Amino acid sequence: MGKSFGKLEKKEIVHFCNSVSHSSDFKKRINLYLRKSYPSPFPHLLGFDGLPSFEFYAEKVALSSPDENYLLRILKNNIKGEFEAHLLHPEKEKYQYVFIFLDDLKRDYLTDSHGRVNLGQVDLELYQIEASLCSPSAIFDIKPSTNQLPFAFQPCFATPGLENTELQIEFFTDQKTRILKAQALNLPEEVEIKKMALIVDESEILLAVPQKGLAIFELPEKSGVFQINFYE
Amino acid sequence: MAQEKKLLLKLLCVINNNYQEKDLEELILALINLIVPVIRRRSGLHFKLANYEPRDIALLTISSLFVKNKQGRFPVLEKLFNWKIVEKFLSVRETDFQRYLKSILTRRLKQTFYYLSCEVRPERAKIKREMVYTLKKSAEYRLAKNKDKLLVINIPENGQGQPSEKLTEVQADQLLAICLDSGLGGLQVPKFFKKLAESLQKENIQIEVPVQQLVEIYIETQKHYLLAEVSSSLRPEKQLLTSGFSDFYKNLSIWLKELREKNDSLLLKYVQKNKIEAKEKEIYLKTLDELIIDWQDGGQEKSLFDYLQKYQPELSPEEYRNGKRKILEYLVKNSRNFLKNKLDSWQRL
Repeated sequence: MGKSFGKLEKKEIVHFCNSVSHSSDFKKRINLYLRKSYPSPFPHLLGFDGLPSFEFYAEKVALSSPDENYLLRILKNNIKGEFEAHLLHPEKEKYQYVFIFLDDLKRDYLTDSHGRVNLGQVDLELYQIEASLCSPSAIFDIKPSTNQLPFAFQPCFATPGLENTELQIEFFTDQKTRILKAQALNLPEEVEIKKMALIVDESEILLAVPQKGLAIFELPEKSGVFQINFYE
Repeated sequence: MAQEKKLLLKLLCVINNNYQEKDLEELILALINLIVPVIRRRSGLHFKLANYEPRDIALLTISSLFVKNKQGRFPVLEKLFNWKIVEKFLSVRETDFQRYLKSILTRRLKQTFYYLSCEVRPERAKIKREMVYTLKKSAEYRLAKNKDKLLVINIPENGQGQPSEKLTEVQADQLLAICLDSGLGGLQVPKFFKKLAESLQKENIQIEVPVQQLVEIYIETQKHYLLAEVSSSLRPEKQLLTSGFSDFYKNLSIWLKELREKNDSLLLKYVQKNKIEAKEKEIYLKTLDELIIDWQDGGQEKSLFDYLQKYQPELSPEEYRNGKRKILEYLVKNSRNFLKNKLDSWQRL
């Protein structure tokens, strides 16, 4: 199975597989650092022995970016053994649909529209967490259309350098399935879109690894408003 | 264990979401190995001109299978290879699974070609648009939707009762023959359909074909017409055979390479003489590349300013007129003359 495949470079396949599986090699990744937590100045739990301490139920750590704009709180439910993460930032574009990469788990997670992500029951050492994140470089709001002709959209949010980037979309029908072709246009030479996320009605999320800035999505049956995010 | 069985087990791991990265890598690699030879056979010159290598098409086809959802699963892959299908193939012969896999990949590949058609062959999309516009306005034709296809229907009204024959999708060759016999080559879309309706009425033939097929028939008719024109302009005894065309395409790719090098060195001189900035060199080269592709695919589609502005979005018409227009026009003129001379000398041979 691992035989030669002509001109196709194996490293390209490995790169593609990494992006498809878990650990995308995002260029615009921000490292997060553990913040020291200080004991609460309100000793309200002292002498109150009716309930066990908070740590009995849950534990939490907070990580922040070097500029302290991002704050990631990771909570561990000690009863269920489940983890949950909450990302905070003053701008919604920076906490919604952001990739969070946890070094220990060697995989990335995508936050929802509230900046929340359920990590589930994972093997994670809470006080030694090393994490980083990658927020969208460009966001496009797509109005649904039945027209098959290609349409170009301007970004409603873009990081510096990507302001002139456009997204061209085209709809196709294959039997009962609606297909969406999404193509990034006017990308600066040095920019490579590592992942493209299609968010349907703020609930369904599809992640594609674009090739030459192009991704093809099969749309869910009932789909209304779309949002497409680019990640570098 | 045979390769197919191994592949099936890897597939099972992936759709059950208990795979290792190595499983995924091997699965993708195997799928690519299956698909690349088919792409090499099927992708024509248009794809090469549109800067799509077989590996790009392979990765694009495969990547559409590996779109992940919120739960980290692959819905498209799971739809194509659900557990019932995988279970069935675990108990049948491996060749059956291989056949199924090949048919799935070939169908996906066909879809990829279709999705890229607008980009690879913009002229076709333009022709289709014009065709639909003409047919909507025409009294002789009717457009009807059948499942996912848009059909073009023409029923002759000559008072001779029922049409003698009805041509559908399967008789596309006959319709092409009618177009060729009626001399519809070299006609613009509206005139083409007007004349076709006249011919169909004369022959008392009814048609019911998809628009996409009519696009192909229209293009084929124009191709035949152009080939006839070219061959008549050459020496009468010299027939243009298929091999002649393959030679032409080989030569063309060499000429285009030479032309690019020539333009590159010319632009380098401009940079050295401070006529243009270093970063502008690539912009001019890309503009010329796109223009040359359009020359080969129906001709220049927009103004030179629009071609240049695509790669330099901040460019204003004033800036263009002040310095860039002269340079671009000179490069275009040079490129056109270069190709013209090469073509002339090839024809003389």
